[in-house]
Amino acid sequence: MRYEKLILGGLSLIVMLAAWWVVTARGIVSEFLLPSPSAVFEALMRLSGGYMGSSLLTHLKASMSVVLSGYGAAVLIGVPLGILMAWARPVDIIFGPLVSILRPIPPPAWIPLAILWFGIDLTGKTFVVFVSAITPCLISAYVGIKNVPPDLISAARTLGASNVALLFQVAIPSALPQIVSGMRIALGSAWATIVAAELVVATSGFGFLIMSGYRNFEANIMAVGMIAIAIIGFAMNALFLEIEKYAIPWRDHE
Amino acid sequence: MSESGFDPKRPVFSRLPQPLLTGLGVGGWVLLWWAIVIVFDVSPDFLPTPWQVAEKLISLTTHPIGEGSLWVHAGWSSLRFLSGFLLAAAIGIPLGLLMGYIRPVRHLFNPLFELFRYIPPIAWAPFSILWFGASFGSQTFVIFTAALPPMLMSAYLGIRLVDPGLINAARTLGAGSTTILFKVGLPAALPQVVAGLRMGLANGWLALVGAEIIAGPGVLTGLGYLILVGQQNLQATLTIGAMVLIGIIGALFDYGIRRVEDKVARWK
Repeated sequence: MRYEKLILGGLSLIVMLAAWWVVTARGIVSEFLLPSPSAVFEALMRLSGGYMGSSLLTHLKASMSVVLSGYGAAVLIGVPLGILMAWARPVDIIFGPLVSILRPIPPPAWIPLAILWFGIDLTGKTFVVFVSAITPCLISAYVGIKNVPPDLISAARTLGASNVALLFQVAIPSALPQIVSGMRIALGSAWATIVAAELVVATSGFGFLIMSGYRNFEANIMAVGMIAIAIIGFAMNALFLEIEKYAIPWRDHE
Repeated sequence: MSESGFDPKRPVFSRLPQPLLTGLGVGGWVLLWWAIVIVFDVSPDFLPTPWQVAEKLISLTTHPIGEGSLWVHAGWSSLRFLSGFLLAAAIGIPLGLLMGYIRPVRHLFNPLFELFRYIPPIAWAPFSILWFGASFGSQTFVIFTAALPPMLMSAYLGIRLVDPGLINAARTLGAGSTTILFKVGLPAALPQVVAGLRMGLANGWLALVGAEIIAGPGVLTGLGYLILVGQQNLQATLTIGAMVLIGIIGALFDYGIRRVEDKVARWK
């Protein structure tokens, strides 16, 4: 059946949308609990004009600048540290225990402490985003280097490669796919964390949008916030997958 | 972390056994934390010493905050977590197996998961509170949304990756499709299923903490509540103490699943 996937997939989406529309339009579920599709559209129109002092674009910028600075710092520190820990055992012995202490603490648990330390402004949020993104960067770099085939290392060494050449010309290129996919996971984690932080305390951003919809009994505003978060999460992931294709052309892409 | 085969240098201390080294390392970092607090004379409201945190945790076992002592908060958090986690396992694993095994089921459910995949589980917290109230139900729902996708995906992949030779062999020997699913597919997919449980556990535990913090003062129990109270009363000892406890309980759950994983691997 060539069209089975298309037909069944489309069918389930249509049934879901129709069910959403029927239960909201017929008033089976209160507008306060689940907004109708038309109410969500109306909220979207209203938001692109401006809501709570900011347009959608301003909320996007607010969330994005925090994510990019916290995530950028996490990549710049996490990836090199992970590589070094895998490459040089003394570094592993020193930093390994620190990673094992901090890793089990979920990123959202840092949000109140960050508020306590840095206040409710951007510094605290950047810190939490950093904490959430550094773990996947570091772990994937570490595992990537540890999984370099020993044959590759032996061959290069036999051919007279120095330790530095071994690291930069053999180990890192071989670990690159894993490092880059770790960076992609870290970006998703950073995005989820900024949303969580904005749900707790914020004056702008999509998490704040959801919370103010919640406080004002406007479920349609909440829905717009969630849809925007999903679209941006999807776009960032898709962008990264494209980058992976160009950066690592030798890898098998499905 | 394991021994590397191609270390350029091998210092003397690397011959010490790994657990001893890790213990020394952990102790070293805790001492460094302690030293920073003392040397820079940091206020305990900002960063307390490890000893002050330990003291706070011990005093909490007898002095209640909110609706109970430390045991009550740890117990509620664990209970909420387990209810969401078990619900996700009860729905996610069978559905994932079915999606892997029966093509029309796969085509029906895949688009729905693709649609919701990019919403971070914690973003469901406000809607969840609207639907289920700021209590047990809403937190269970958030944990459920966080734990479900990895369990479902792993069960699905586990079935898809079963060696087709095994299935053909069973079919040649006259096994029906139910028998094949339960006697061939399920055992072969088991390691993947358990790996999915472990990922679901990590996601669910993270979501629990997020849900408890976002639900805020509406709920007077849970470790997330303790973290929040510590922040609101400017008591870093309480906040950090609760964070440490969350880390320890999460690590214990993970250890439990890892034991199961080892058993499954050995049995394979």
